[in-house]
Amino acid sequence: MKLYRRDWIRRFLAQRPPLQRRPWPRIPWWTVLRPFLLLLFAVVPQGEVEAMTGLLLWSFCTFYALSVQANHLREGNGLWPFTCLPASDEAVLRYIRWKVVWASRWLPLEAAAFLYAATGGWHSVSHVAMLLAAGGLIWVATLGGVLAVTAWRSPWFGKLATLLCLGLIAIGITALSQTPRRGRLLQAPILTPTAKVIANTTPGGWAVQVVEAGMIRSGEWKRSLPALGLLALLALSVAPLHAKIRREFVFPLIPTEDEEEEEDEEWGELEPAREEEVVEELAAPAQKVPSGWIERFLDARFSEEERWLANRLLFPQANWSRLYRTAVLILLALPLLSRLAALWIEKSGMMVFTGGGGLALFLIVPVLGNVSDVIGRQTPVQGRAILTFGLLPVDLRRVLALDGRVARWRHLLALPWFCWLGAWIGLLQGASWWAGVIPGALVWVTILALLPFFSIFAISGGSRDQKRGWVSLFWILTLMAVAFSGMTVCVMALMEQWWSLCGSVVVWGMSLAFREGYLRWYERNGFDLIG
Amino acid sequence: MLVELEGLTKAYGRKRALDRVSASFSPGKVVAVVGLNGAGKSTLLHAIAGLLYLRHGVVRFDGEVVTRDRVDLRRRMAFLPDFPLFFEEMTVLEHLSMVLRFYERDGEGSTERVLELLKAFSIVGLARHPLAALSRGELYKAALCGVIAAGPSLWLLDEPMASGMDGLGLKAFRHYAREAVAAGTTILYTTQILTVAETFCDEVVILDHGRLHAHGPLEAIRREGDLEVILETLSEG
Repeated sequence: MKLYRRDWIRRFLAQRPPLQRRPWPRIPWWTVLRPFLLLLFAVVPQGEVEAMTGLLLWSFCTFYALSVQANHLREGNGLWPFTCLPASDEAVLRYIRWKVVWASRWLPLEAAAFLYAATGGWHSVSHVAMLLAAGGLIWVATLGGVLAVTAWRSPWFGKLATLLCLGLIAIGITALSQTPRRGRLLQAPILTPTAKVIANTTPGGWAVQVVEAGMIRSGEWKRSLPALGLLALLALSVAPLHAKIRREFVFPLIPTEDEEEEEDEEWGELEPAREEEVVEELAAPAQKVPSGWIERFLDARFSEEERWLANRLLFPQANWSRLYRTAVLILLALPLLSRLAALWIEKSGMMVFTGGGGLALFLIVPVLGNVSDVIGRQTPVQGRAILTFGLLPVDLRRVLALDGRVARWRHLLALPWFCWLGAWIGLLQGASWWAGVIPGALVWVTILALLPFFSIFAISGGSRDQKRGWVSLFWILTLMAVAFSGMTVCVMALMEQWWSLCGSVVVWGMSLAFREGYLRWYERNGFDLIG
Repeated sequence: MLVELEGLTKAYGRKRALDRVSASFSPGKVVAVVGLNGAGKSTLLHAIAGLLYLRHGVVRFDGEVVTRDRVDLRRRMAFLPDFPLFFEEMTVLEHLSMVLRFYERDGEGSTERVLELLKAFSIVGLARHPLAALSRGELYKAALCGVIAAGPSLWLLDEPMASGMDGLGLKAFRHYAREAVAAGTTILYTTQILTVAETFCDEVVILDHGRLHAHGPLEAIRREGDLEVILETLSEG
């Protein structure tokens, strides 16, 4: 019996998403804020500080909106119904793609408006066309990336598509940064280096640079082909990143054959416990022994009670010893690899990057992977845990205080990483390594100051505090605006970097005060924890 | 423990899930909360457990107002939703030891008590399995073991009879519930299965569109008619 009815699926997918049929759809706050910010860009004559504040807020809202979409897919809210329906995987994928296209339908316009603000307004018809084309390019590239990930179950195609999309984004950024009419935003001190860093650290950016270098140097594009091939290989080596995105955000419910086997093995290994084992474990619970010396050092910072709570309720720590070992190995291997790369580049006649920059960049990919792991582990108590805490007789303030302490220790251990990365970026920009260390430390301090904020967002996301509606929205937006403006002024605008460090402490204080206020609201049953 | 509800009102938009509900429950009773779908049964339990922002009303345990910062009062009750919430990476034993610790019941005799419960609910073999690997019925059994082992004065159970537990689990649940009630514990549970409510409760609460339609001993309610007939009347009205 044929269960998959193509015409039925097509009719179903032709319908508008359910949200559009609701008479009064709930308007998320980030949706309200984004057009408002764009309007500000377009109307108000801006200085650097305002532009940077707006850019930060806009980016924050956009990334938050994207993460909400990604989480929606990750949690499988849109997929579960299909598991009970006679729909094929293909139909489900089409449904996902449709949702993504629908969710991002305003992006080209928004991007065009953003670029309008960024490049200082309309100047001519061709300029308008260029902006719209750039907006469209960003949309196509972003959408292409998402669709590519959802379209192919084979990771190889996904990787190639990711390469292409990153290339398109890099081309867009390069084209924008070279436009003769650049608004204040594009001239802002942070955007040009950011564009450079993107172009230097993404496979697409490498491809663009190779093509540019090859064409400018010799005028023969064919000479760049081997290098492009090499760069494609390098891009494919970013496999774990792609696999992670795919596994975590897109296909948690449709595992590949390999994943299915792994899972079966995992559950198959579970042996029934014997009575005496249960008694033994209850009498003397197994202690989790930290693996490396850094982990042991960290573990020793806490009392037995705190360790018990942290081991059970907080997220596991990153493997610091392994991370630092990797860093040391890379540092030791770098001079040799750089020399080899320089020799190879000299012989092949291509000058793409300075010295061993190409290989150094290749090495930085796994390092960046490790850093993203480190930052990911910094996440405070997750929202989903809040409901469980709500059911247990535990003081959330106590848990959060411990969480904060753990986060601060973890963050302190991450300081050398940030400085090291900063030094690298400094070197890539052609400056001295020391010039990069201070911005690295600044980023570290800024993240530290924002940790309490993040914990509130995590709680807010996992509980039902949105039921308070506009009151909470207004409160959160006001505090966010104040905090972000403060942060921007302190960290970005002040040219004296040591003052910026001090300013971050002020932001930290605000962030802590915000968390304190929120917790008081929590304790007074200020919002729903369960629907 | 005396549980008093005073004018509990909870609204979702324009819909009132609870509408000025007032009642009091004396210690040592099993109270079945019944009503049609959407009557506010689960919402009532959530409100008592302090999980909701209430428009009006207060909940009192022995005369003291319950809020989330009163950990001492929260330690005297346990709430089990129809789909229990867990830290899924924990094993059954880790979960139980955590619950006992939070309820400050991890002292002398706790090991024997936990083992006895695991045996009664026939989940000894699953004791070292992660909670994520258990079925719904097994999860509910594990959660119920935690509640019984913690021994609070008030149990709030959402649909325990439709929780996926097998016959053995339901039997064990009734046994331990009766044991706890005899020691002065109050049990409030919601159910849609009226035959269960008629055989396993001392008092009945009937909710209708968020309002308290009736509350009293089972015999007194029965004098008005069978629960099924009462609910049919409500659905027509």
